[in-house]
Amino acid sequence: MNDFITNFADIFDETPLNLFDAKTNFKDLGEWSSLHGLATINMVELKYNVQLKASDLVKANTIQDLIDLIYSRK
Amino acid sequence: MNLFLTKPYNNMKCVINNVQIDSLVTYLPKNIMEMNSLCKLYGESNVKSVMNATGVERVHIADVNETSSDMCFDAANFLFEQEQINKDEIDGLVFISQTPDYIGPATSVILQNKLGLSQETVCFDISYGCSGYIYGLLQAAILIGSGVCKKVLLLAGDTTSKFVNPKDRSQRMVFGDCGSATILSSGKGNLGFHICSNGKDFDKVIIPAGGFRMPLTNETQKEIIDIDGSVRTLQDLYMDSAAVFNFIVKSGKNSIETILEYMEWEKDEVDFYALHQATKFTINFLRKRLGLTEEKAPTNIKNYGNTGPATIPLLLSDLCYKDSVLQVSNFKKVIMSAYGIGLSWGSVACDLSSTKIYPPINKSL
Repeated sequence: MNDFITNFADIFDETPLNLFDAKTNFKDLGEWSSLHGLATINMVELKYNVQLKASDLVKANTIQDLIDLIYSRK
Repeated sequence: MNLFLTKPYNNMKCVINNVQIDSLVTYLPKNIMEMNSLCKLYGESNVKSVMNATGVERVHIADVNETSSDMCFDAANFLFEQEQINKDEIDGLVFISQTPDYIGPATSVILQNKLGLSQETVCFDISYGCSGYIYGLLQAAILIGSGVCKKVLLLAGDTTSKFVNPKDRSQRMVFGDCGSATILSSGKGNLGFHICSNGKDFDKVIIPAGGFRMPLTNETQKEIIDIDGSVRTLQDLYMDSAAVFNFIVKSGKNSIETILEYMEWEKDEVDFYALHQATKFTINFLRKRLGLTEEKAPTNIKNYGNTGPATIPLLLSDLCYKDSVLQVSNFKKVIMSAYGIGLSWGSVACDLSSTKIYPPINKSL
């Protein structure tokens, strides 16, 4: 789980690391944009070999939602 | 093995010998469009959100009557004067652009006359966008390395703003205009290349109408509203942002790793990475994936936007000119890498330590 949070936080340039935990609603982060969504899909494919879709991100709210999604697809 | 290659050709990887990049400069149009000025049109929160992701705060925009060849013409004349170049020595001209003066004749031939070059000059127009500078360097290096030419003028520039619908928020806030001039000649250096093409995804970045597949008609002028609210016609630039982001990150990373391996260069021994300036977010993401520092792979997109085939010369011209903080005389190992319409992409490995780089003409910030 920590591994995913670190990889997810790495997509962001300005958001402090301490704002990222499993409960974080990532869409509420000021830096979040559609490009971060694309980067998340790319990172998940590269690091976890799981193909997410944009619609998956629309449904997810927290980082834990993303982790659950990845585990369910592995 | 081919006579002018120093390393064996290997799946579009090659090193062309006896070619050096002598000098380069870029030309920025005088008009500047501030992204903040679009708040009224698109809404402040939308504008700030796009600016945050792209990193673009302003772009230079060509006048209605100012073409890519005009900007490249001024850049070339600047180099001729500064470098005291005998124009008769130039025997090759390569013009990289998707915004030529005419459907025909080739703009490079028009520029040969306008610039006062010898009639014994071989001229090429090459239609590429963001990856164009890499292709231009390859074409110039082939001409010199094969012995066809001794000194080649490479001109790369676009007025992409003229292909962007004013109501297309996503493109209008990214693309700027710029021209560039680079002189290459026979010499002691060598240039390494890795080049790729993928025509299967030709429609991911496209201007559908205006060629002979889809001639201009009343239909092609009709405005279409996209899912994100952006408006464009079939005569305007379209980009599938999601597909392009994935393409850049995957192909960019692969191409840079491939050229490093082919050149037998370690990632950390490279002095400077000149990456195509697509968006700040994309560059940063690619940089992180490659494990490169911001110092070695900087961005300058803030003041210029994505200037298509001119982004790499503009990055060098903006940050690495004589007396700038970054000392180009230390750049013995440089990687340039770009990706764009086609889809097409590639990387160049070269030595810029003897290259004379001038700051952009009309640079104001």
